[in-house]
Amino acid sequence: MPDTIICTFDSTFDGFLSVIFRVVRERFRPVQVCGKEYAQLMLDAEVMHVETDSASADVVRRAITNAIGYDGFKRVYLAFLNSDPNAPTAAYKYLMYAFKYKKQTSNYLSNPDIFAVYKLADAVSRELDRMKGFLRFSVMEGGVEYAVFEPDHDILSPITIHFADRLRSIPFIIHDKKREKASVYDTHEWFITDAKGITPPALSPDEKNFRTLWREFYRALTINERKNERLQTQMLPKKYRRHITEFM
Amino acid sequence: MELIEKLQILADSAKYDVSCSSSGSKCSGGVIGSAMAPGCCHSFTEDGRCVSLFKILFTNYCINDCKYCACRSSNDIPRAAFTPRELAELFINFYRRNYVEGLFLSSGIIRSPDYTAELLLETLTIIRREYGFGGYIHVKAIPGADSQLIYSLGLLADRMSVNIELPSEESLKLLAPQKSREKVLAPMRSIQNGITQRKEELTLFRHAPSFVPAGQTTQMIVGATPDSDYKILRLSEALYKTYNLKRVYFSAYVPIGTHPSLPSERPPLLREYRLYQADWLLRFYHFSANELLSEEHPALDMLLDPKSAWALNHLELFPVEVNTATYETLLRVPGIGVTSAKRIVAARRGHSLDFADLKRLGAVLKRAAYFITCKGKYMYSSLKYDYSFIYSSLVASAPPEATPAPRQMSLFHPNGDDNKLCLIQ
Repeated sequence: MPDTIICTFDSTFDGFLSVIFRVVRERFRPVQVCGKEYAQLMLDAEVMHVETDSASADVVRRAITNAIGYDGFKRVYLAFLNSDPNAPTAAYKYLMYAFKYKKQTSNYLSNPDIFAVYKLADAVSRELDRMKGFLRFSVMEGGVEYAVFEPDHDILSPITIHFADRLRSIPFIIHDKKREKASVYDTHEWFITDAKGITPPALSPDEKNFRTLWREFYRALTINERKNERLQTQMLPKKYRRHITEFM
Repeated sequence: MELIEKLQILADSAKYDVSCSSSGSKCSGGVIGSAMAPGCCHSFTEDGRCVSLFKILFTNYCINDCKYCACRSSNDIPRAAFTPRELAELFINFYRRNYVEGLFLSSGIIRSPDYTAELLLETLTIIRREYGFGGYIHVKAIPGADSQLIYSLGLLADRMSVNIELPSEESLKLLAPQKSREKVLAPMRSIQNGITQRKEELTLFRHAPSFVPAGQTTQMIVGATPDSDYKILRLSEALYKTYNLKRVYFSAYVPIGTHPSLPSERPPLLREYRLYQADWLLRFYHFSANELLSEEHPALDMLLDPKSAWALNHLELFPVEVNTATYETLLRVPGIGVTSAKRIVAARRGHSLDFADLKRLGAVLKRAAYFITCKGKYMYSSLKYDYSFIYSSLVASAPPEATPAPRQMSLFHPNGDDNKLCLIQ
């Protein structure tokens, strides 16, 4: 086998876990693990594409949970969702340590390879927490709810899980405009689908009315004597405002 | 009256209530709605405060005449009242669009406390029973209402609060003649009894009705009366201990009333901020009010955060060695918080830490560096380990809004502040 190997996969989490499966089973150490489109050309490097296999992904899933617990697994998953093209490589390096140190992994926080995953995961979970609040639904004709957002990181799945638990008896669609995909929830289960060129249904008749009411409520809340727009921007960055009702 | 007018009037009156958090309650059930334990901010107003709950007054008609309150009966402002159904429908529609995390329902006293409490009860019943809402509801306990009514409200709400309003009995007498300490504390006590009772019932049968699962909070106004920071902190400490409150909120007094006994300057925002910092030290850092302030030094330092100020006055306890200090000791170091203290304790099991490691773990070195050693080394020359050097360095790195406007020092009657100004320059 050549010295330097770059592993590519289909950009899904299962694909990533399949890479880990191969790496551990065949005992080699790639320099980079990344989605197909991100593979960097390097002299001397061989690109190896790993096919996604859900059976081996499940094996790795169990192995990760056994080694570093559910919290650790969640950390790896969140770090993987980070839009940084190096995120899969960082998650892979972390996992190699995790299999070695097991539950002691958190004792090595000063190791840059280990801490990197904490940082990547923190950034994703910060955006996820924000979006749980900042996402705005519109009620469409027929009672379906529809929301658009453009998150930095690929958080469509975790945010759909959150709203499926919250809205429960109301079907909804969440549209990630940046990645052109959408999740659909029908009050029992949800799935993610391609959303290129879809047009949302028309607004329900009283939607405009409730938007106006909400804007008026929002406006009435400001205490003018305490105005502090810098703080507002810090807490609610302008990049998110395009899809938030009270700023539209 | 149009719904939109009512909304404007009643939201405007409710905005001075500080509590916005929905934290501490994790629930999920019913047809719609859930609450997240850490709380969730849905928007931010231009003053930078978070909008989490649909915070609204049921009505701003009020029979009381509290001088600091915008709804006082002698104030000439437009008045409005919702009907329970209107309010319930409006709230559910806001909630399903993800505008808000839950409901914060408060009210002026219309006709009588009992009558008002009944209206609130009807609103909550529609939201919980008809719409099947399982998310977060915070409701104000109406002082003076029948305890049975308050109990019924508690069965439907996640959190209840009674505002203590002013830190001392004298201040209450001066500004809120219809209220008294006893009148405020009575409903607080009955809520606490309800919570303990529910806990006992839970040990007997599993489906005991839930009563105020997220606990109770209170709020007081800062800067309307001459009460000292020491008094305020002692009071909130006592409230946490004796009434098991989840939070005590402070609200900088915004001049909305014109009464000769009220100040008329800008709200003391920095003081409010420092009080919150001190409040955090009480709740999460194992500090007590007596350690931070005393009768002789009753005011918090406006230039320094309370933790740095405390550490500066106890230089004999520092510097501490990061690699060996206990978790409790680390918590007391300025610039090290709960998260970074936990990380330090975990990370030093792997290998001993230096300053660069600390920075990576999230400690704020520009404050922490003066109070710690790493592997026995102090970041600065040990000659510099004295009050004036550390004080001036800490103040110099403070954000500009924390430093007061320049003023002429007094040559003949220097006070404590002048001495500190000398140290900075």
